[in-house]
Amino acid sequence: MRIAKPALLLGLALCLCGVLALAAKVMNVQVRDGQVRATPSFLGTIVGRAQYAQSVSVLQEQGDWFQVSLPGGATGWMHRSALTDKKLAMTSGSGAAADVSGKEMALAGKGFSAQVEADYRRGHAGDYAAIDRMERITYDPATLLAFLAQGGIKPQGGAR
Amino acid sequence: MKRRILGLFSGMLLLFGILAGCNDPGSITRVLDALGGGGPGGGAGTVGGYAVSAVKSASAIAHASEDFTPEQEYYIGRSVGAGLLAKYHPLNDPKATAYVNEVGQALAMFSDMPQTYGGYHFLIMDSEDINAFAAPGGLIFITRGMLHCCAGENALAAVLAHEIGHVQNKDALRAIKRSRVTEALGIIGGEAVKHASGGRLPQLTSLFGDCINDIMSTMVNNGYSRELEFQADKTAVTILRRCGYDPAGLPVMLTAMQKRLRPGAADFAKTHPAPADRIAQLAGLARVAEITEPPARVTRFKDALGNI
Repeated sequence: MRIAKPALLLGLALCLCGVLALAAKVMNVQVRDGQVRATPSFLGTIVGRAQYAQSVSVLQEQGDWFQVSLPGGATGWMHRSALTDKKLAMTSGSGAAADVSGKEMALAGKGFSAQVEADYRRGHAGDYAAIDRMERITYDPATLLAFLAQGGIKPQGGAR
Repeated sequence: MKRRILGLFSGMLLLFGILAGCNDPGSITRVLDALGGGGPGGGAGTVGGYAVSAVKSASAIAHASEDFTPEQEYYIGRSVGAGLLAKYHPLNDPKATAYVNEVGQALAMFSDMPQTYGGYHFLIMDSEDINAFAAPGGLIFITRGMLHCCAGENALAAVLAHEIGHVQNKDALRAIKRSRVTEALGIIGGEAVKHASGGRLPQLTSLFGDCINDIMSTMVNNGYSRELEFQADKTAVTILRRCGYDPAGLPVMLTAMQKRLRPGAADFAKTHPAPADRIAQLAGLARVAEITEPPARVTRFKDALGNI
């Protein structure tokens, strides 16, 4: 059987397109509360939230920010430090399990997890209530920038 | 011919997979998993088993600062913090705590790692010892004694920026012995492949405890290497500059600390290089200078920390 050269070239070109499409960068959310913002800034309005270990497609980069698209179709900006190119095991309670394989689910919560902490706490002294209270103290970026301004502090650069 | 084209196509895909997957050991597993799990019946047992041994050998040269996921780092950090609070009790002063969090969380925004799994949070410890600790993931602890070394907000910012530097540089995780990481990955990876449920919990918990102990003994007793301390100082200067604080706050605070440290005390004197050495090392980046702070900043510092 013979195939004309143009057809073969077309076929190869199509293969190449497929490979390039596959090369679109996929990254994974590595923070518990993956804030997706309207603009590449900590002051951008939050337009969505991605969960830990969820995969997002990177559409473009701008400084320390990535414009990403979420599985549901929403797009927005996430800071570089919220993303990793490493694949992360799903947490048991993250609820983001809809699009993961059985193998990824098997990894869920199998590392040092809430379950391991609970088991460890049975045999060790520690003030976990104070840690829980500590974790509840969070200021949003706009409040923090206003705090700096009130003290006459003018940021020179870095994450904004 | 069809077969040849098909072969060419899958060859290209495989090549792409290999090219894309050569940066991290985990990706070896993914490529192997993708190949093994693709057909009916999976083949996960054999190919997956190989994948785990590939990860194990890769992990022999890797380390906790890269191998534990951010979520695991978070759980390690929580237990390190809870353990520290069994020794030093939290200061119950909501106003002072809020203020230290405002300064600290504002600084963290200007670090190279503004976001962590659970975020940055700061707590004052009710002790006259001069000490501060940074647990993995962003839980930062500072004693009243250390706050007394801070003449103003700029000096406080310097202390907190140094601790944020330890978090960003993942120094606490470096204190975990390498063998623990290899063992942990063995348990975690092995269990995933076998699809076993639960049975390894006591082993993991015991290993978790070993990791906490490694960090605690370095943090509380032995201290980090001088190199890591100077690196945290350098990171602090970068964070202070970006945020808009005067980096002179760091050598100024160290000068005040030098006067207050008691030689031989089981605090910063034991776990950190002498302040004079740190000041000398910083000379190229930040020098002692008079810091003038505007009245609003002076007032809020006094209001929050004046009576602790």
